[in-house]
Amino acid sequence: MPSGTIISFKNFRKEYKDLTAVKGLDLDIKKGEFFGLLGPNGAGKTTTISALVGLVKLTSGSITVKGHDSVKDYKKVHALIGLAPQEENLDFWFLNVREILVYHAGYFGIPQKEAGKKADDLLKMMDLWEKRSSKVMELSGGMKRRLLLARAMMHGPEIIVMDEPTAGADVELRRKLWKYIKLLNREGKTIILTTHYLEEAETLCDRVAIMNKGEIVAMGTPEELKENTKIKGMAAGKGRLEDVYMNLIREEES
Amino acid sequence: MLSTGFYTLLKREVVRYMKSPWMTIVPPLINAVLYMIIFGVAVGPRLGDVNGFGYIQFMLAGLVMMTAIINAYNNPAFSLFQARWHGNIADVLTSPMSYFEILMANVIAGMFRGILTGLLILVPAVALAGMPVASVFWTLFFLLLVCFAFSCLGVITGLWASDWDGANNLLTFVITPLAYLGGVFYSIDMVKGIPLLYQLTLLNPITYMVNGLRYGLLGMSEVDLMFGTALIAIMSIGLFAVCLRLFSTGWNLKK
Repeated sequence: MPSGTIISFKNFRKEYKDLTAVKGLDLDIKKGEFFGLLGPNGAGKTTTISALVGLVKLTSGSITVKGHDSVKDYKKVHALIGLAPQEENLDFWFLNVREILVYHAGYFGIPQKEAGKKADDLLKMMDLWEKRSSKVMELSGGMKRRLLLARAMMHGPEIIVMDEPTAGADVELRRKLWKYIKLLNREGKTIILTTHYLEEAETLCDRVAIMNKGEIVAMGTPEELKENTKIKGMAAGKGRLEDVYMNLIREEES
Repeated sequence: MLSTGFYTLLKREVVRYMKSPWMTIVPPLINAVLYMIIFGVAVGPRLGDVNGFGYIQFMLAGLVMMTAIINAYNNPAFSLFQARWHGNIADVLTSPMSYFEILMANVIAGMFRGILTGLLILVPAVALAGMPVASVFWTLFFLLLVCFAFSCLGVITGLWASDWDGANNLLTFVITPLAYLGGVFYSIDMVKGIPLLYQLTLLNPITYMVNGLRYGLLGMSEVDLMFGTALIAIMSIGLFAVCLRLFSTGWNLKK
């Protein structure tokens, strides 16, 4: 059960040269919560999670994780978070699948022997054991996605951030990934998920925020959003999350 | 106190070039052997002694330094650029390692590659061809200091480059010409009659680096050794300070 705030965005703003990607975001995420960030391309989702993990500089505002400031105490914050990014940014130049995991754990301070054991466990859990000595180039798209997820879990983080983890995955793989992600959440991990698949958010998330043009335009449990959003021609609570989403984005654009 | 993360990244950077020696370690050695055959064996004997040493011995000191410089530079320049270009730099940037540790792992790995390639030329020359070593201390001192400076320069290039050409340009258009005009193949005495080349050689910082190593190996110095040492030290400190600043501000690392 989600309890207590673990991540807090306070008036977080991110400006690029000629674009404001996030316009003063205020958001609290609870420990153990499965939180979904939805929105169209360019809504500010990836900027928000990139700022959380330290890949984007904050223009103003603050982000705290377990009370640690993401800029001043970045080392403590980084140790708490595992990132499965949208891009397949695996260290493919000369490392094999198992080595990618072991090196990653090393960056997080885990000794090699312990990292090796953890890598073996995760490779088995993610059905990648047979590919442990393969190079990334030899993996299918789905295997790469699972490897990204395994990498994010290597240092046993309390929070796992997933940026469109099922993008481009077929239905079978998507279901498989859902299974792994749900398992992590059941183990008490806080999950932040960005996705374009609204069915995914509806199935997995305790709470979702819909972002558009750098702002949160709606937030709540999928049921609350369905209940509280008036959709033309539908009784309250009868629509799907997709209908709510389309309605909100259209409203914003009109 | 450096962390497990630092040692892991250092290992990664060293393993990167040790796993592909045909691309990283062997080519500079082939180049060095070719230079020795052409200039040392074919051309050198016609030049006679240079400051009391055989031309091949004189040139070899320069060749060791040039090889060390290029390799110390290449490693962080290309490794960091590759990691930025592909995105796997995020693996390191999202870890609890400090920026100082990330920087030092890259710099030390570059230094190690520079020193390794330099020694792979020097050690056989000492063992098999009777190359003298006047002072082990000064030989290692200059190799270490110069490799440190050029590894820092490589880090700056790795952060600055926005494409593969950019990563290569500084080496092709600045470092390599400076190395050739830094007294690797000629003594300062030889170019006294060519004022432009003489002035360029004296203005070139690589001249003082090559001279430093020649002092360590042959015990001879053509320029003021203390001035040269101070120049290289100031250059190293300056480049390191720039690297620290760039890393701590996340220049071209964070959006």
